[in-house]
Amino acid sequence: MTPQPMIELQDLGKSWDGGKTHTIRHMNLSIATGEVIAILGESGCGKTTTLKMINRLIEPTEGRVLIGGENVLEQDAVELRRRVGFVFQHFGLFPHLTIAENMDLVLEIRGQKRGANHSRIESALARVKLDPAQFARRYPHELSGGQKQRVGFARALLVEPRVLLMDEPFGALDPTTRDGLQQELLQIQKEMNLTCVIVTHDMAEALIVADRIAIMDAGKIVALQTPVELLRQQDHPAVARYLQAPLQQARLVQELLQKAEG
Amino acid sequence: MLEQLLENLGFIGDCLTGHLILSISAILTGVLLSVPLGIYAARNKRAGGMILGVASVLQTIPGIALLAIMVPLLNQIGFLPVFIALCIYSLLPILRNTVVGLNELDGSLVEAARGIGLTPRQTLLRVELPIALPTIVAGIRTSAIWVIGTATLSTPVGYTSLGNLIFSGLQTRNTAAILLGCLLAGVLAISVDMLMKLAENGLRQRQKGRVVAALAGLVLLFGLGFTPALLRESNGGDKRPVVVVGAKADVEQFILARVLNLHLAQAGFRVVEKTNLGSTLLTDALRTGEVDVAIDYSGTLWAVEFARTDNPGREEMLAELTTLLESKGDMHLVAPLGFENAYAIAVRREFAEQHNLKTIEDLAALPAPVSIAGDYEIFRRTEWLEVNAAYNLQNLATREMDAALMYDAISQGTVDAIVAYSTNGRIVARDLVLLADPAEVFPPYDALIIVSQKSRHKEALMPHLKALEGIITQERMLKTNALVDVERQSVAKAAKELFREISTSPSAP
Repeated sequence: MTPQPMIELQDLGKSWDGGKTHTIRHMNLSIATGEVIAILGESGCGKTTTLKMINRLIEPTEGRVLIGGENVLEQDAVELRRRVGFVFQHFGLFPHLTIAENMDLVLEIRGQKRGANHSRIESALARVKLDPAQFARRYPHELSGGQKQRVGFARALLVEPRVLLMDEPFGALDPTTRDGLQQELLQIQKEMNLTCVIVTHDMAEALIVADRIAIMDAGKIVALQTPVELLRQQDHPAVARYLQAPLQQARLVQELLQKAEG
Repeated sequence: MLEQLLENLGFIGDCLTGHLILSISAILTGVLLSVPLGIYAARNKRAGGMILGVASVLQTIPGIALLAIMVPLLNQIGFLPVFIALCIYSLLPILRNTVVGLNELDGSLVEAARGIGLTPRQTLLRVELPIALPTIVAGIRTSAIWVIGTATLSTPVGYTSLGNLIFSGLQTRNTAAILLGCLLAGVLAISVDMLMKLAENGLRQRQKGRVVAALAGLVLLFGLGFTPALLRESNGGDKRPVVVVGAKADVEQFILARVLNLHLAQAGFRVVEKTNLGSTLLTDALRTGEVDVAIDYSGTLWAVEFARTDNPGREEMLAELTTLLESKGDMHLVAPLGFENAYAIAVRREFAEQHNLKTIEDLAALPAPVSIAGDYEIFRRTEWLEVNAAYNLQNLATREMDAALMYDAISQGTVDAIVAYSTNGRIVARDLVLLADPAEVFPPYDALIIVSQKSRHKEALMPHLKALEGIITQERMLKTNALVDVERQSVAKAAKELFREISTSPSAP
């Protein structure tokens, strides 16, 4: 008997104009506790819509979403979002609040007193390798992109969620920063046994961070495989298309290295 | 002129305090109305467009016109009509900036707020409004400057503000008073603007110190403005009965109001002067009882208040006015003061001699066009239409201007004739000739003491007013007006002189 999945999408769909146009149709996906799933696809394929339906930032029109076996559509949407961590592509930090205030806001909206959670905020910042003494009182515009997204992660993890949703979290960062953050994310994910869904359009990123990769095309999942399976089979044209770029890069690097040695 | 102002420091303080109370309450109410309305307008595009449209239309109404509409609408003078007009005036900039501030907000921030679990209300209060705040404050800044400037227009509708210095200064040709009024209003507007700019920048650059300093500055500024009133209040409980004396915007009216003030103060009353009122506003205020006593002129009441076109002669007109005021006007005629201030056509002496002018008939015979200036009322009043018809005055080109300015206009030759006030000191001083009215079309304009129906029954008051019957002769009034109009004395000083004269020799010389 397989253990109960943490997240389940059952026949999930999103349609507009009263059912005439569909962005997502009949989507089924089962994500185990502690698993990292990457949803990969081109712009407009419905990957972000799928992600946002999990915490109801977008309301599904068909099917169900279960988290921990419970139908989220029957829960209070605000309460749901408070339980699920979310990391935004453009960080989503509020410019009028300091880093500490940005984080405190998450606790305040749950009825905790303002400024009563210094130690909790400090340890959350320390978890993403930001020195609280240096960063807590700064404003977002005083931080680099990478530092901002570290705060984004720290804020999402502040309430120790079981599920972390990420919408192209490294999309706005330069490659070096991205690589470092990816590794740290994986480490934290293991420590906290987080169940993660990460939306990306970068195959290399998906290959590095995900346990399984779901490739979406025109509102459907066209492939759902582990990175190794994906690299071996490449049986769907969309998969082949996505692998082309990283494989070519790898080949190029290989050739250059051989030239240099030979 | 400056000494006259310094004598009046208390009055300047009152003007400043009145101005501040009016401006602050209008701006605060404007903020309380506009910000929620702006939030609603930002959320509902369609209704929002309509709200902004209506506010824009209201904004295009000139301030003075808005005031003129408010008074009959509310059937009231004083604070309320100006307050409401200024509130309406303050709406648009705050409303528009609230809508812009909220609509221009980065959509991803609103989604982030929802995404981390803020309710719509929390999103508005914790994220959207704080981020839009600098823009909203910029709107409040614009409103505040408009309101402080426009508040000077409260004077003609009977609320004391810095406008009183400007309007009185215009009538008494006291340039220092006009400049002081403008200067104080300007300094007030600029200070508020600078402090709010400091607050706005502080908010934009997230420097709490600046915001706090700006707020402290605003509180201090307003505190300073209220000080004169507070000092006065602390002079102790004044138990004397209050009498409100009204006056139109005219030197003679200022003098008479002050004489009434001195006379009644001596009799143990505390007198509040409401001067610079619009002509018909004064009769309205007497009718509603907002003004207890004022001086008006028989011909004016006859033609304007009761729209009569006939001229039954002095005695009959007075008798008929007495009953008309009672039955239709809710006012009471106490007694004539003893002089007449008539409308009369005046020309320069050399002009009269050159064209051999003695009567209005002679004027009608001149080749067109003869330019003639008058106050804002006369050319539309029934007396004028009657005069026009009686003498067949078809050769006149009329120009309306402030009554205080038309004597300059005629002596400078800008116009050939004016419809002058016969007691004005400048008629003699500028060597003007009054043209005779042989057909007696202009009615008599006897100065009358009029009280509101309410005050008529104040037994303590009426005998003191009756005592003034016939006491101010034509000569006395002419002389006193000339003290201000020609010799540039202050109204206070001239009125004191007249009062001394009538107190020491009550019977006419």
